[in-house]
Amino acid sequence: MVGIIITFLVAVLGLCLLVVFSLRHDGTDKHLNDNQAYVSIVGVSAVLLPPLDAIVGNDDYRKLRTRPELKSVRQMFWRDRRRIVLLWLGELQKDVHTLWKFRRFLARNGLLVTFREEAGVVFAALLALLFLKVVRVAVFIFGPFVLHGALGNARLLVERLSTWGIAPLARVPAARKAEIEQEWQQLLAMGIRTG
Amino acid sequence: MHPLLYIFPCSALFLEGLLLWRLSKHGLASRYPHLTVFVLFRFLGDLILFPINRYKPDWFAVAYWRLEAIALSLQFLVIWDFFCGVFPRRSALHDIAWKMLLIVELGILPAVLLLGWNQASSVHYLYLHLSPVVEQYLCLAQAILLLTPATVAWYYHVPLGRNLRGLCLGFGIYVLVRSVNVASLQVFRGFVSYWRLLTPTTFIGMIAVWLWAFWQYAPSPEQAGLGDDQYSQWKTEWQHLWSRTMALLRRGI
Repeated sequence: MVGIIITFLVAVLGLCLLVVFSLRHDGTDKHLNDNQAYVSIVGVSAVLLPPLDAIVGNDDYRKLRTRPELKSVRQMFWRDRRRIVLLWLGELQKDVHTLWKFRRFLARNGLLVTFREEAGVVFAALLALLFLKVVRVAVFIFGPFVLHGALGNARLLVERLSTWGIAPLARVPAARKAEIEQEWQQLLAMGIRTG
Repeated sequence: MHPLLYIFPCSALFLEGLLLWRLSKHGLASRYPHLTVFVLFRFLGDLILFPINRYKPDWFAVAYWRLEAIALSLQFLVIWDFFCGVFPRRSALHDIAWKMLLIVELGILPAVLLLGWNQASSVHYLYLHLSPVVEQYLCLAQAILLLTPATVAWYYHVPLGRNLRGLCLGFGIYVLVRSVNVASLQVFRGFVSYWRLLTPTTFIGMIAVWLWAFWQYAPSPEQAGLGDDQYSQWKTEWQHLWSRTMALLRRGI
């Protein structure tokens, strides 16, 4: 009976997959948005932009806490800062997605990658996305100032993924690299038109 | 057999004939050789069953199930055609997809075998020609083998083209529905008269989808990008390998 139930489950899952595969067949990515048009080539925008302490530093908040008469200002500050951190984490997630897509784009364009490298990238990307989701939930619940270390780790994780993801590009001759950059920009532009 | 039920073999035969005719155009048969062999076998098999049914009805069941068993094995070749079509040889993606396929084979197929073994021991009736458990799990394994390269292609955004998309969609739905159908036959026996219509209907649907897909040559852009130079290079290499093999055989003999 277990086998029959598994057969039914696999069949349902397989039919769903077939529908998904047949719906997207042209190879273009429909989920790229306008923000990614400004990404130079692999989109590590949110990682490189602001210093971490400017986002999650709690010096101002500590000063406000010493002044009970500024309670409403402190609460507003806390909410605003939480919104900024959540936005930053969202941007990091977008960066991970873009990096991951770029890696697949490189592999599809015939760059020499091994199965082990690919498995490692998939694992790292999934881990980074999971970690960022958990940190986002934690920031939403506990606030922006209690997870300084975790936020630093999140940034580090995306930076590592970035370095790892674009590593095959270093093995490519300059002329081919320019072609790849051009194709990637075209893909992004197509993504904007279709999405 | 009820005269209305003849509609299934007749329409299957008609569509298979049409499909063979389309495959003979634009060099499709040489680009998808295994698929052509499968369709040709099914066409001849279905054709030969008519005189057997008319003149030697006692042989019909044996002939039908033997042909089905061979066709079931030939279906693996269709998967191979799909794999080769999606991932041209000597590409990084070909190696990655091949390793993925090996991992799936090593990981999932033993589990399928174990499940099949357990299920077979719990079936209390005797089957005369082909075990429904074997049929169920072979189809399930084929579906998994087909979905693995399809998933890798989807992951890397490899465009399939109309030929391969139709091949994957039609064949995937057919093997999955057949697997569910055979499983349902073992569990819900009250609906046998309905279940037995499902597989032939899906088979005809698959041939119809293939007919749409192979009406013209529309390969994946990767395959279309391969120029004649590439093909002639492969041909030269293949001929070199063939002559070496023959020379070794001659020496051995």
